[in-house]
Amino acid sequence: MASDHITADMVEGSEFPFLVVKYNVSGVPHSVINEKHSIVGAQSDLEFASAILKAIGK
Amino acid sequence: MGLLKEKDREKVKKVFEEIEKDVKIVMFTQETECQQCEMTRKLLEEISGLSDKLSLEVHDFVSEAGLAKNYGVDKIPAIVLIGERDYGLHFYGLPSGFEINVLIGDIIDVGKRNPELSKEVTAELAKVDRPVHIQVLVSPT
Repeated sequence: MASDHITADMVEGSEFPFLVVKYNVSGVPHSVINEKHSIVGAQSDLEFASAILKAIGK
Repeated sequence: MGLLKEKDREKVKKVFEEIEKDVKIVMFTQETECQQCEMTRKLLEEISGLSDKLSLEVHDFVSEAGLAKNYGVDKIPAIVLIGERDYGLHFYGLPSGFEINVLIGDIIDVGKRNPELSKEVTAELAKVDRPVHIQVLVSPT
């Protein structure tokens, strides 16, 4: 909601195993930014925001 | 028999009093519903009935493929929450256990038109200037 550029999906891993395989998920929550950058485990909002900026090279 | 227990329905109805503006819940399923699609639809029918600010639209992923594409939906069951605009917020799969709390929390954030992020986080996110797609893989608890 905070940015027009960001879309976010919550995905039930047990129903979409192809994504679990694609992103090599071994524990949840497992977050993926732009199909490439993975963050494993719960993060604070700020850590998440930093990871997003890092993923887009900022 | 509903998917939510009676006491949970009462709790959710109470927290939904925080909702200030209309929230449209859009769901994509298909004519021959898989079990998860049917259960998701029934859950949303129950949840949307707990506040008069909530409305539910159910669409067919196959026959309304164009609409699904407009919402950025690529798999089902899919739930999209719409406030004054489409925020690109999707839930894929049947929300169960703790995930129902996440869905309810997001419905309230959309209903308040406020994701309740700190100033610091909001400032960081303002620097985002290109598409960012976040997928959070979860499992039922």
